[in-house]
Amino acid sequence: MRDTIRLSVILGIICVISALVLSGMYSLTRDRIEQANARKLEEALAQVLPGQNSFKAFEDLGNALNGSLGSVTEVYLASGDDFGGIAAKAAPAGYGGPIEMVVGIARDGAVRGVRIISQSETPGLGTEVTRDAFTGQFEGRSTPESLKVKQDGGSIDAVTGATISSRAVTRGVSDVLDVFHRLSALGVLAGGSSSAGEEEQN
Amino acid sequence: MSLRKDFANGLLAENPTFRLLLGMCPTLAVSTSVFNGIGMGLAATFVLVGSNAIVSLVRSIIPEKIRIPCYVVIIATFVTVVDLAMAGFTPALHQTLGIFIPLIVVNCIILARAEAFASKRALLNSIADGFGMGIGFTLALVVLSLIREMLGTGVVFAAPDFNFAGVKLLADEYRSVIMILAPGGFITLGCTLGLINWLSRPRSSGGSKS
Repeated sequence: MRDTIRLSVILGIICVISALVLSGMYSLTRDRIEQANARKLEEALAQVLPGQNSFKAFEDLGNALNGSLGSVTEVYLASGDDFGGIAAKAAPAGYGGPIEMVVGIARDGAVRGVRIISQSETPGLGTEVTRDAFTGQFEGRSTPESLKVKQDGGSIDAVTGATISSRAVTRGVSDVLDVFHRLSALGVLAGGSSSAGEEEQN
Repeated sequence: MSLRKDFANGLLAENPTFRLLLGMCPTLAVSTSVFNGIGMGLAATFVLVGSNAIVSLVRSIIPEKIRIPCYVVIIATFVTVVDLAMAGFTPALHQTLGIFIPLIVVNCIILARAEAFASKRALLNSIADGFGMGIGFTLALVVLSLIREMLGTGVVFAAPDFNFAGVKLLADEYRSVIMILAPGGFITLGCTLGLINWLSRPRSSGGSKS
């Protein structure tokens, strides 16, 4: 009995020390990690809408679109050259978890660029969808209906052996296009004096 | 026992993958490309050296009966600290190696070396053992991933993170995708193990067959 208590106390002490070390490390790196992630997002946004370096987060997205966003998680309004366009973050479910991606849509409704920020697809197979050879196919597309992989009757070439990952990325792009069309129907994009999204992102 | 011997032990004689058959799950998962293999190997080496060192330092204060849960806590803490430090201070490196960190937590090579070696030996010997085991693991991953990447994609040394397309060895029509899928992992691992066992089989002396 006494031995049990002694061992429990020792294990408890080791756990407490571990917890202290972990929380110390966490608070030491938290700000830096947040900064690094914000910078990564900023870079990705600038890549999918070239020539654009100021984005406004569109807040209250769920309310504006009655909650049906598909896989879209965040929308940023472009304000410079591409005023009226959007860059949006989407996270469709892939083969190994959500595929986080950003999609830029110019004001005329055509996809300008697609970048995958993070994914956990099968190395060597699903990860191929992050390559320009695959994501480049979306550039210039403007109708969500045609955005399907060839197996599903669309016109996107899926990566060999990675149909699920290819399908997920394709769905992400088509969800963003869908959100773009509904936002522009609401008149909150070009010229619309939107009251939502006050926060300056840069 | 010399440090050099402890180090060399992990390379061939007790290679963690080919000899001890430890860490099979991450081995099958990441040996799809040489780039992944090296990344996983280096990250695991770093964690092995660190966890061996810590376990060796605290070995005298940890009671025999609860040593395994203690090692688990120590290793998990160390891996998480490494993960946070990498994400905070070297984001570029974290982007490349970060995906291997969750796989290292469940890598039984780490716990096995803590239990079989570091808990009984001095600090420097434990560090040498961790280093040797890590390099041995990296070598094994490189061998397996070289075979799988070549047969599966026709290209070797592809490193998308560094925008390097790799060296093309096989024409597209000769590659077989199955080699970089899970079955290909088992096939490659099984054949390689068989070959190594056959090469290192005890040979009968002289010409007598018995």
